[in-house]
Amino acid sequence: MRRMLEEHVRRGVSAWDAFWFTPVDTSTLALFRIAVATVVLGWTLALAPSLYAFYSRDGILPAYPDYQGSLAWGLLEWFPSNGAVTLFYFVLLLASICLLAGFATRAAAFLVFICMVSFAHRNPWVLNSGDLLVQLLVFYLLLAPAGDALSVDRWLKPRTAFWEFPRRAIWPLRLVQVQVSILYIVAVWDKVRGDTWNDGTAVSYALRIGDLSRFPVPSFVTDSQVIANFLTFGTLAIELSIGILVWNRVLRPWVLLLGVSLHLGIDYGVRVGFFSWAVLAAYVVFIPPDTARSLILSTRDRLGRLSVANLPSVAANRPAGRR
Amino acid sequence: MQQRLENSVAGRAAISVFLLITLASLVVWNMPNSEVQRKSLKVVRPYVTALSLEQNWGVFAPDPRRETLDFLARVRYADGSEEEVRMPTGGSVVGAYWDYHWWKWVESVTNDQRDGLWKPAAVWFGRRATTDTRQPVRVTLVRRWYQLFPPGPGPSRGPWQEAEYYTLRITPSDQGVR
Repeated sequence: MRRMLEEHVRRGVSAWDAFWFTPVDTSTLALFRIAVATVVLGWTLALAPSLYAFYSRDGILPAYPDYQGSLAWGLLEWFPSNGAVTLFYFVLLLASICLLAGFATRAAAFLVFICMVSFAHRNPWVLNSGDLLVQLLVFYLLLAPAGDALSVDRWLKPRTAFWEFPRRAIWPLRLVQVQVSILYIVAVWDKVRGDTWNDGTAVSYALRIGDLSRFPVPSFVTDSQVIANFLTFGTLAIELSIGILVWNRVLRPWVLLLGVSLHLGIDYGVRVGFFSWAVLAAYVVFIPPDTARSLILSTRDRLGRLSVANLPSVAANRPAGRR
Repeated sequence: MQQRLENSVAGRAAISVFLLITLASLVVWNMPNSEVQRKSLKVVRPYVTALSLEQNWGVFAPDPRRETLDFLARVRYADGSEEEVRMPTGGSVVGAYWDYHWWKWVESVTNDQRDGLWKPAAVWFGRRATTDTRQPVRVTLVRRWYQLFPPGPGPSRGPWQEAEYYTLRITPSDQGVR
């Protein structure tokens, strides 16, 4: 009995170890870093038009919100001046560029995270789920050796090794994978309790909320009960499929493809800011490291061929005497 | 440093503890509103808020809103004239990536349970309407909306309706009283 128990524990520990600590190429992590940093950069630039309206003491929320004894923190609680708002904004902007380039990557991710949280806690009334997702993805990136490949940090090491992808434990990427799964399962759970997700009209309503609509959706789509049913139940089916079947190696690409189409549709029809792009950035963690490596190297080769092909034409355009 | 940690037994054990706590916290944070969640949140909330892992995936859940919202501030000037002032908005292509923050705010500022946002909003719109030659003396917040009807035959929406729900009298120093 005791031996059997020990055997089960040993197998459990071994499975845990394999799931979280298997070393994999950092090619997927590099693509994930670039995808998240691109979204963060866009998010930061999009904050500029309303920066002082949202976060200064002369704005729509002059006082720091009361978090009633929770441990929610933010630099703007301690440094509330307009100068601090400006400073933190430019730190965020610079750090997100560094994160994208992979320069001082860990420090850049840390600064991005600190600044994003500070802005988020200063005025939570202007944020949606997508904004929080971007912040979460940066947190997970902060835990990962995100500058170990395809980065300035890598380039500053022996340059012959720039196109190598050192193997590192997979656990930070696994955390993002689990987060994606939780996101969809919770989304479905929250929805099936509602009337309109059960009677198949929810998507019709969602697409007709005037203050949230982005590009026009034809009225025959939103007014048709049959199409509304199809879109509503289809959304639930896709979200549930991603939440569960994304763990199946064979079905993973197909359910993620459905997810991509769902989120591009949402981004077209609904004013949700960076929500769809944040989700798509999170999908990158499901790209197998070998595929990510091939993708990166083939892009390098294609760009290399392009630049080589351009060289003779540049030379040909020069005056003959100066060749 | 991280690599060394991941390669040692003690390091892996420490990371495993972190993973277990984080995963348990995420599960509790996201589980349905229940007695188990309420009790567990007392333990989990400090961890989640300290690491800023707060999340909410109830997008359009449990039901999408069944109305379209709009919001404006009606400003009366010292000379007796009136003007409607709106929040900044952008276009559908690029503007949608920054003005969604404003529309998110509208959901709160027009909500009766968020009345703490009303006065600062009125002050801000009053300031926005102030020019060298025109001084606001009163700012009224106006909620506008129309109902969305179920898909199918018949009209898809009702008429625009509006309600003035907060008025602020502006003093020269912007210290208004209700």
